[in-house]
Amino acid sequence: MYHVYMNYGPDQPVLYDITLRIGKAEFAFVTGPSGAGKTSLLRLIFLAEPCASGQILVAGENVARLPESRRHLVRRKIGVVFQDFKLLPLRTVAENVAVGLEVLGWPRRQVRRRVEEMLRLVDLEHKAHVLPARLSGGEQQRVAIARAMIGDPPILLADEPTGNLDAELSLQIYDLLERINARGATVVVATHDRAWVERTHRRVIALERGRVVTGGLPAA
Amino acid sequence: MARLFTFLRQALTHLRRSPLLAGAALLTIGVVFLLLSVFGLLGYNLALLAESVGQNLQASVFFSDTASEAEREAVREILRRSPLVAGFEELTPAQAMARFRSRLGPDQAILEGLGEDWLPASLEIRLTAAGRDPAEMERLAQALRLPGVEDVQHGQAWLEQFDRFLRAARLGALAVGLLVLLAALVIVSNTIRLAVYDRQDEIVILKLVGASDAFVKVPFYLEGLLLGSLGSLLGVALAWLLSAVVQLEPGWLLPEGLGALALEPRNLPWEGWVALLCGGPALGVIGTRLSLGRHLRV
Repeated sequence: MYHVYMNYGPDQPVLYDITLRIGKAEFAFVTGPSGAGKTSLLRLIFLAEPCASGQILVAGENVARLPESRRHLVRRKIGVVFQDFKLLPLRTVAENVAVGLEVLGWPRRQVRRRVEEMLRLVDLEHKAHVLPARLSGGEQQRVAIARAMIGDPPILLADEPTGNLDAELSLQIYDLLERINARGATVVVATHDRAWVERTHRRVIALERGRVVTGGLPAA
Repeated sequence: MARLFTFLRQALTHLRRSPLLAGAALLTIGVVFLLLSVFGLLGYNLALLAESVGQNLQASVFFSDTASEAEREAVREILRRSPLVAGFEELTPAQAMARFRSRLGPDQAILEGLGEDWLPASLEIRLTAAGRDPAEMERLAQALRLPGVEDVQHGQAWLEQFDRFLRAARLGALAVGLLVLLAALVIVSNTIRLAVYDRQDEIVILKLVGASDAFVKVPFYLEGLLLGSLGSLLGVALAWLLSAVVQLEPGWLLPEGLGALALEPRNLPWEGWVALLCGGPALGVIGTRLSLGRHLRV
């Protein structure tokens, strides 16, 4: 990101002059108090919001001025996980995970195989035909991660992925994110869970009132 | 093809999940197409009736008792030369009386006591299409009012009124048809709009995982298409049945007096039914387009 500004209206600036670089296969935390702009930063990257000015390069493509008709192609390179999971309540676990491949037009047999593989990765193969409402919070978040990663995107963005989970379940989620990163994906996690951030010794990009305070550029 | 099947499955699943909404939309579209079909049938039959009246249009020239052969020949000569005249037949008083008797049928008793020459000699004129123009016809009538001619009668004034009535009926049917069509459009559009609101979360998720605009929109279009097609099929089938029943038993629907017009209700030609059937899917797609354009932000 180069000198990126973002606002939610003329009187509501959110991010100021953000310049940061996250490398391929890197694991980085975006931290800061509530209202610092963590979620807005992630929303810029996965094209849910437009920036007012500046450049945003995702997998080598400047997405800041990308036409609407090409945005879905960039989104396919990014998996996104939310605090509230955003699962489809009337679809089973397997169907929720499969959505990520259905939009790509994969044949059903291949989708089934890949879903099984992803459910194994998140240890939920025995819950494939269960509706999300019957799962614990940790299980629901693992389903969301499986859905985000099923197309094998090079980038995973997680917005407060453990915000609704207790310490033990949070541990499972972070362990899963580490494994995904170890497979080669760039993982960016927005969180205010300082305990976990300090324990992992990963790169930390700290935001305060919409500005990068530390960690904008990787350590030399 | 497999993708289209997936979209179709999605559209059917969505319709199944909101049976009340889908049912109400289906029923409304059905009623709209029933009305449109009935208007179509009425319009078609009125047009046929007008054509038949126009084809049977006649004028008559009545000679006075003292008309000489030369005077009669002058009249015949004008008729032979006029482009408004398809042909004519000369009736003696006795032939005119016999024809009048046969038209009266069982009521011919009222003519008892009248002599065979009670009616004047006359010329019955069959008119061409040009003869339907009242001004042209009036000009011909003026030309025919020669010595020896007692009267010239033609039905142009009546025909003009009938034409005016037909035009008004067509305009009225068109206006009401457009109105019900607009109502159906609003209903389809609202049904899809509610479906969009209902599935807002799903749309967000689909977009998040990289769905193209088309991937999100196609199932909605298919829903509109299905509702429109099934609705029009329902309405048109009912109208076709109604039309078939009326043809079998015209007296069941038509007042007895209309029999004098030799009115035989006719079914629409197949092109008409096909056009009505195609209107349903078109309505579904246009309604969906209107709704998605205004309410779907993907």
